[in-house]
Amino acid sequence: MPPTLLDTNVLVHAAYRRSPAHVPAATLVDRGLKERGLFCIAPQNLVEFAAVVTRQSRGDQPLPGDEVHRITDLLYRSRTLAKIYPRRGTVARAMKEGGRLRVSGAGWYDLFLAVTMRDAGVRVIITENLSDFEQLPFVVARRISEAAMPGV
Amino acid sequence: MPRDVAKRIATRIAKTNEPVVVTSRGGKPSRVYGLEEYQKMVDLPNQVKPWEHRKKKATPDPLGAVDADPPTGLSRRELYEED
Repeated sequence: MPPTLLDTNVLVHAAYRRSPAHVPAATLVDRGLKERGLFCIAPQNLVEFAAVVTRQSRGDQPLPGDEVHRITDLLYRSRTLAKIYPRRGTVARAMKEGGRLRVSGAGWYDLFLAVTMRDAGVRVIITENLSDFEQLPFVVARRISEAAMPGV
Repeated sequence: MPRDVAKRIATRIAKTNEPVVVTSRGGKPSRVYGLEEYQKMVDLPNQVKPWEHRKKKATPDPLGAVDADPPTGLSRRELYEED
C-alpha cells in the first residue's frame, strides 16, 4: 500500500503545542516516525515548514534557526518516514495539468505537490486545507483529526 | 474496632498527644495517621497534579514542540503570499 502524504500544516501543528490540532498532528507524525512506509513527505513540505515557522510577520512566534534545522533534520533523516521527490517530468506534467484544470495563483504550489504525489504513486494527503485539493481529481484529501483516529 | 487499630491509636496519642485520623477500609477502621500527616497526604495530589503529567505523557511529541501558538494562515495561498 502506498504511503499517505503529511501536508506541511500537519508538521506545523505538530511543532506548536498550543495549536488546537497539536495532538492529532503530533500523533500522526509520531506514527510516521515509528511505522515504516505509513506516511511520507516531499521536499516541498520541509521547505514550506521552514518558511512558515520562521515567518516574522502577523504576530507569529517564529522558531529559531537551529530549532528549525533540528526538526527538519529529524524528519529528513528518518528512515521510517518515506520521502517522495519530483521526477524529471513532474514539472512538465504539472504545467499540463494546471492548464487543463485552470489552476491559478498559489494553487500551482498545491498542484505541483499533488503531481509529485501522483508521480510517486501516492494518492492520499492529510491536510487541514481540504478545499485546496478539491479541484485536483487525482488526490484524495483527508482531515487531520479524522486521519489521527485510532485504527485509521 | 479492631484491636490492632485501637492499639495504634493509643500508641500514637501517647507518643505525640495530637489528634489522629483513622481511615476505614470496607467499613472498618484501619489506618491511623497524625492529623498533619494526613492533611499533607491529601494535599499532595493537588500540588503534584499527577493527572497533568499523565496527560502530557499520553500525548506523543515527536518533534519536541514549542509551547507557543502556531503561525496563522497555513494554506499555500497565505504561505506564498508576499508580506
